[in-house]
Amino acid sequence: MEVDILKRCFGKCKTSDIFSVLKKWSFLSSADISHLESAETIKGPKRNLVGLIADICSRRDNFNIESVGELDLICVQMNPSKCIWSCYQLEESNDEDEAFDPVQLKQKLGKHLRLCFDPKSSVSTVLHNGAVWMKLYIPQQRNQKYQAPRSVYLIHYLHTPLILMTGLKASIKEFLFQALLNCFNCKKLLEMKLTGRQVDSLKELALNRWCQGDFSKFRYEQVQRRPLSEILPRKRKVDESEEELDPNITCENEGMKKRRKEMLDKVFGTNTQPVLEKLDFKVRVRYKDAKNFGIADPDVPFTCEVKFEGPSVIEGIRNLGRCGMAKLPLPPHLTRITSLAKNHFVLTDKGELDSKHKSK
Amino acid sequence: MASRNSLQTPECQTTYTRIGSCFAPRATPKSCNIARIAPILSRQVSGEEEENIKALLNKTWHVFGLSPLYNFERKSSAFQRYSKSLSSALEAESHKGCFVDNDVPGSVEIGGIRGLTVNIGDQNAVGIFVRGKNRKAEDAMVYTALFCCVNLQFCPIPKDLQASFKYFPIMLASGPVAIMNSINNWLESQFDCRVTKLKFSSNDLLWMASLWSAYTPVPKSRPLELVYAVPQECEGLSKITYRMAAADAKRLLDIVHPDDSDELTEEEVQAYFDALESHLCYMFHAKLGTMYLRTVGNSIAYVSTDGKIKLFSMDYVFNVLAHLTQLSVERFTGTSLQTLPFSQNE
Repeated sequence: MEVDILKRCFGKCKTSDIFSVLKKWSFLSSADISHLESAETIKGPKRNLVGLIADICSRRDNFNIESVGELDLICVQMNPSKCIWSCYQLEESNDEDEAFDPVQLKQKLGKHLRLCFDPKSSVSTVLHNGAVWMKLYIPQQRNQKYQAPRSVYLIHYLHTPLILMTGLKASIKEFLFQALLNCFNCKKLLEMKLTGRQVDSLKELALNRWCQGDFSKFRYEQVQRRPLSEILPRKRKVDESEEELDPNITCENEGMKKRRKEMLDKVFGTNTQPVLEKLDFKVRVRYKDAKNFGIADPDVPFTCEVKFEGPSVIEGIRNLGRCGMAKLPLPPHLTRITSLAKNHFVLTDKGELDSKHKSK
Repeated sequence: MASRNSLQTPECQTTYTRIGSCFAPRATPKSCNIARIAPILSRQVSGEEEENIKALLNKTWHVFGLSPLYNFERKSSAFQRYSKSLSSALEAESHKGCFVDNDVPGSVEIGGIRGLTVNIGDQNAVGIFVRGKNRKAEDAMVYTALFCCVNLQFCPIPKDLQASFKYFPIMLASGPVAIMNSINNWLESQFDCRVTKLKFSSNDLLWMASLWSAYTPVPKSRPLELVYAVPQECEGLSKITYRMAAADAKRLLDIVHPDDSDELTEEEVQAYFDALESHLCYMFHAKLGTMYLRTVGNSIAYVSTDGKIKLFSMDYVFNVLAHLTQLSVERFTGTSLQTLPFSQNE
């Protein structure tokens, strides 16, 4: 099974990346790696090289599912955007000194996992960019073969309540959550309804929710290396391209463009927005001006679902305003996504919401 | 009533007008009949015919337009000859290595299909079925194609040529593209015809969405779904999916379209989309009028601009096919040559 996982991991990498992955993994000694590099196989197909690596590894005693898991994690770290990550928040932590050491965390979580699941469940951990990356593998009892969908990847940012998790089966969800709560000594694991592929953007959104939008410029000032020097805001590409236009062409509605840009900068700030791939709205609102329009039962709300999709949706919504494809000012549920740190929403009329609260 | 003009503030009119739909030349007639089309002699739909109709449902079909087929015979001996010729053509192609890493075609069967006609003038449908090996090397049906002619109002072939030409305005095909291409090539060389992908413009989709919304929704039916592609200059956003519960969509249509009339007019279609889009504008301030309509769908069918269709409703199969037939005939006779599918405009 270990060899199977190893082959799978390398199958996803490019041939040129294999050695850098091996060095990061530090399972094989540098002598082994240089031996591999010098070998003839490097010129041959990737399959042969991977076969050779698998051979060397399987001769080691400590080659087990946990060490291969670390390799898998390194591969995921190289391309984290291949998974869809959802954010969870740990709440009501009781413990002051949580386990920050990845090895400690591994043992602790492993203990709790084996209580809930198959005793063969395994945990691998790797420290990367100030976060512990974890791979949990929860095998089915009957099945001896490796099943990729039964592994879950987790990222826990140290000293924060944030956990990113890849998709998991509903059948193991409840127990896994319980194990995590026990491990981190918390009472609640809150789903933030924030999902995406870009790990950094998700972290940014989830952790810095009160300094997004226009305020983000202050935070970037702090992050910059020389906070006391004068700050030049990072210029956006769009501005540059506009300046390069033919001087003989004058824009008829320049004033309006400027006004629009000001309005957008006020809510979004001038920096590049964090990346999200999808915004999802479930809307139950009344039709605008339903009575005058002559709709039957004007008070009954319309049920709609609206999804915005694209490579970077928040940026896209700003551009929508910039290109004149949206009326300005944009509604708060589009401009405040960054501070709400959510991308799945339910919208209702104000009155509706109140009545629901009353009935509760 | 909210009209499009009220949505577009003056600032926007300088930059955009509705693309490819409302102001474009019409592709469809000014009005369309929305009454349900029943199969011919509907009380006598036999089990076999019902099976044939059912086989159309819940599959993604590529829609092609066919020009009249020369020397096409409807005899079982002719069908056998065609299937032999097609299987040898496919075999030659697979020797060339056209189907590597894909489904490999094997035996071919061509035959008439009953039950897919609604009026006397319609040709009975003809099907091409290719069995072969799929990717897992199991024996399976790898390709299906149907030549249909549903509710053809007027035959564009001159009377003196009608003996040597058979006209099937649309071909529905499902299968891997490699096989589809080689079969299309074979058809073109065998019957001296032209097989073209039937692409739909945004305007066609507008019509289809409105027509199908007009059929009374069954409770709990699929919502009306509209997918808009955002123009490229708006970086970061690629599409907006807008779904509205079927009953609510019907409520909007009821206002613009009086119940007692069977005809849906162009003004009504326009007003209906204005109403739908203004609701989204009210919620999100986005002007859908400035974007391309890419896909529409509801409980009757899903259609996208690149000529793919998926049928869901047994009752309205003929309405959809008749509409496609009509579109294909229009394209063939050139009455609406000015409206190219908008995907070419990009």
